[in-house]
Amino acid sequence: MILKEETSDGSTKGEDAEDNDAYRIFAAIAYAVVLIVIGLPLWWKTTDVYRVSLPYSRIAALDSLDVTLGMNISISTIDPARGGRLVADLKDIFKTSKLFQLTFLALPLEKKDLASVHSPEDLENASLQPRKPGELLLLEVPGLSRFTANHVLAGLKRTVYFSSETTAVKLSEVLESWLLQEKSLRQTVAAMTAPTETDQDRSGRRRMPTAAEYDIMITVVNPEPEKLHLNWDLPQAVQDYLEPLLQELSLLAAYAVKSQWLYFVTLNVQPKLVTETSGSGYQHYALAEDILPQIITPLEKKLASHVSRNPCLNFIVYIPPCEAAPLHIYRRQGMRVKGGVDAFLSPRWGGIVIHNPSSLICHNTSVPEPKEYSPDTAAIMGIFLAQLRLLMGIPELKEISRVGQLPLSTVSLRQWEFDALLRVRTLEQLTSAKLTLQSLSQLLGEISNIVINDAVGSSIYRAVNCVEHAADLLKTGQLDQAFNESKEAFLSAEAAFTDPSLLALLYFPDDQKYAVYIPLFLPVMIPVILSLKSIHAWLFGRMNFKTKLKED
Amino acid sequence: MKSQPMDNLVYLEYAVAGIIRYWLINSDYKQTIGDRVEISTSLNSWRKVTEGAYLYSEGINPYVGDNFHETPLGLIVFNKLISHIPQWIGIIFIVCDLVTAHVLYRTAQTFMSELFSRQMRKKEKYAKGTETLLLKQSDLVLPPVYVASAYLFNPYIIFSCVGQTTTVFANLCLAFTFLLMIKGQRIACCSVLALATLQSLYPATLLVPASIYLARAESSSSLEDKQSLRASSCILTVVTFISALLLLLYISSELTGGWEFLHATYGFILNVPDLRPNVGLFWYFFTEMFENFRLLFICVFQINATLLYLVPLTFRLHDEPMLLAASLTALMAVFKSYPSLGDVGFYLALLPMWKHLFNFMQQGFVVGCSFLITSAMGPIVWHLWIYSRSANANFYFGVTLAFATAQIFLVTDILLAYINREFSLYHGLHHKGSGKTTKLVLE
Repeated sequence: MILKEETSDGSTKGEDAEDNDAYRIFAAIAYAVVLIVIGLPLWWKTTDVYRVSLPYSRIAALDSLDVTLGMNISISTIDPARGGRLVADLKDIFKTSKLFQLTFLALPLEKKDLASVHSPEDLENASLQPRKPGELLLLEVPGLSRFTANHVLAGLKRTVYFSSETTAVKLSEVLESWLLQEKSLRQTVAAMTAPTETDQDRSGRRRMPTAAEYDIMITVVNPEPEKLHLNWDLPQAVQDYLEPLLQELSLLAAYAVKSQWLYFVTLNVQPKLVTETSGSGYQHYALAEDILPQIITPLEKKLASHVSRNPCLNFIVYIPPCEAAPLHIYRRQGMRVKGGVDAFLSPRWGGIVIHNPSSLICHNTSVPEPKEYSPDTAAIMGIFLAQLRLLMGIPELKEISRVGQLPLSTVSLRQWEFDALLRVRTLEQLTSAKLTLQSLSQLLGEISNIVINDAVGSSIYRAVNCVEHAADLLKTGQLDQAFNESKEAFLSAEAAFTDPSLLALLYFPDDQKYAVYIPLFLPVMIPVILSLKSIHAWLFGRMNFKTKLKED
Repeated sequence: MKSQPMDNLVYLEYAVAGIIRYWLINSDYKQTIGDRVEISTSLNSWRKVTEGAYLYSEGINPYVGDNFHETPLGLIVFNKLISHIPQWIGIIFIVCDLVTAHVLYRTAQTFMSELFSRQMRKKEKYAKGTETLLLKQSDLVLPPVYVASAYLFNPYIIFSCVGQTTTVFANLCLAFTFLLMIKGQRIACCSVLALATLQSLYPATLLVPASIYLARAESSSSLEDKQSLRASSCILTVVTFISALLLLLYISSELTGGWEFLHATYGFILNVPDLRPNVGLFWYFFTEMFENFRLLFICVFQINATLLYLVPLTFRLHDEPMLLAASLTALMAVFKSYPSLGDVGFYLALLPMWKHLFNFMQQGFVVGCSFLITSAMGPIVWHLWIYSRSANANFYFGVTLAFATAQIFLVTDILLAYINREFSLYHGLHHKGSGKTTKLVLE
């Protein structure tokens, strides 16, 4: 096609002209071919936004995913008939529960299991304790009144001991408000899904937000170090007291414990000087309850606690200088805090303990400055432990008459408390993952400009799979696996939502794209489009000519 | 056929040009000239060649890093040159330049005689009154001299030679391609073209005019069916070229023990990763475009440089393959990814072959002034941008863009002059079409 008969002698000028015309048209056609046939698909292919396909329908179906907690509660009584009646009664009471699907089993109880038992504490080590997280055993202990005045005693592991006079109603009350805490769970989920309508309850407001890792920062504030020198091995104290509890909570999250000392920092409030009325003339300083919030903000500025992305719990020990000691906190009613513990807690932030140096050292003028003082580690760490329990979400239990708990000796968490915490966190993480996924899918569906790369796509798929799997596991009552799945779902959903690669082309809307293309390509395309007309005319001219020749 | 005094004049010119180059190479200006971005780009800079040769002599593969973009053949040859005869390297560059000029001289001579013989054959078809347009025997003498002078004394070429850029060798290969093309030697032409393509990818477009010439040479010597003979000749040319190229690539891979050099040479030319400013158009666009559109724009620019004008120009200029080859060389020099002034000077040297078209050029003055002004303003604006920091990249790109526009105007003007002349030859000097004097203009 490139070469043609160049000059065959005898051809007329007319044919040459026609061939020249043909070549002109071929040249125009070549331009059009390259620009339109090669150019347009090339442009389309190289500038489409890379988006991995997402399971939008599955994410939408998560809304109607019913999350119910399946739980096996075994009841062991000496009299099987009574056990059967209790089972029937409890089933009746709990059949309206929206969140829980409780299965009550009556386990027969052997007299010999109780024979060698002298106290409920011995029963704790018996083999009939349920081991699986989420299970409960209600055990009738005849003669419970020998040990305690209460009718129902919540054990340290997953057992509740009740006496022979306890009714099903009392048991259901204990289950509802102590062990299951259904109302709190429902309120937590409602507060997350519809935050404008419902608020968290008291323990929910106090509880730290769910995260994979927490930072714990322990600060010792010594305003006048030249006068008072503290002799305290803080890392060892942390190791001795906090580590066991953190070890038990390690299934929930990881903890990074840091400690620091702050000098020359004061509380910036003026406590009132109070003279005791008992006549000893003993003076102390009083901090009213309503100025306690003013202490936190100036202190927090100096804490340097925001150096990581994890939520931080701050535990502060304030040692007042000898001139301002002893410092006590007064409640609104004008009374001192019971138990002689001057400490307060700020929800979702941390706690502050005011530890007064002993008056012996302070009033001993023969000792030169700086005076040496060793704080009472057990007292301070005990308060921190109590505050840590509250901040991590173990609630204060409502008082029920004739119901008590076995006191904690070495174990820092009762296992049923831990189960309840697992339940709350699982539901929180599931709900958060669900909400994140739904908002993300709505965002990605609406804005077609967002790049969805493989990492984000796989995170989303993993999150959806984990949510569905966690819901299944919850239904069958496997609480610890459900918690792990829900944590995975929560982290994957967060990772997908906050991935920076989503923004790569976001601020490059379509009209800007065309504004870039048109000045570049339109001047090139105009002659091509115009020449299409002449190409068309020439082609039709040729065809008409050929048909005319045929007709002739 | 060749007149002796003209030859003597040309040899004198070689001597003078050689002396000029020799003086410049041994002066203080050599380094300044060699460092200028207009003269040496990442592809043809001698500094990179010495770095690559040093790495190679130390046993390190120079293609692993991002710095060396010569072909393996070039690497071996330059390595030998640098290690054994470093003091003669300047002389070698000068000699190559003079050889290129001589090859162009011979090409121009052959082309002028071919023009004349073709004109004789077509004389009957021309209109009356066009005798003033026709070439005379005396017109055939000067253009080759002009071609040689245009190559020898063009400042662009002188600077390119003094700066010791490898464009000198690329121009040598191109010149030999032109000569062998017009002489009709298939294997030699394809080999030299393969060598030129090996170094920079774009001379592959010259395969089309080369196959036209070779087919015409074959079919003119025989009396058989011209159409199929030409088709088979074309196919044979293409096959020869591809096999020569593959052979060279294979030899290159054997020399360096692998195929990484492809990424460093062809990959570098096609992907344009180095955005150092030069006289081309690529760097400015690619510094400011989004990553998302980079692939699209690379494809668009490379198609523009190679494919877009090849087919239409071939359709229009199938009768005149030499003009086609020169136009393609010019367009290549404007639109390639890393052009330098050596490429520009090469096709400017070819222009005097169409001295008879200069009468029909309409924009000669504008083009000439643009060339002068942009060539002077380029270094000034560069100094303002880089050293005085009172200008920015837009200034330099503006000057470069004006330079490219001037070149494009030059090419289109020559082509239009050719079409004008053909039209006038066939239809008379003043064509009375619908009662008015018509003239073809570019629109």
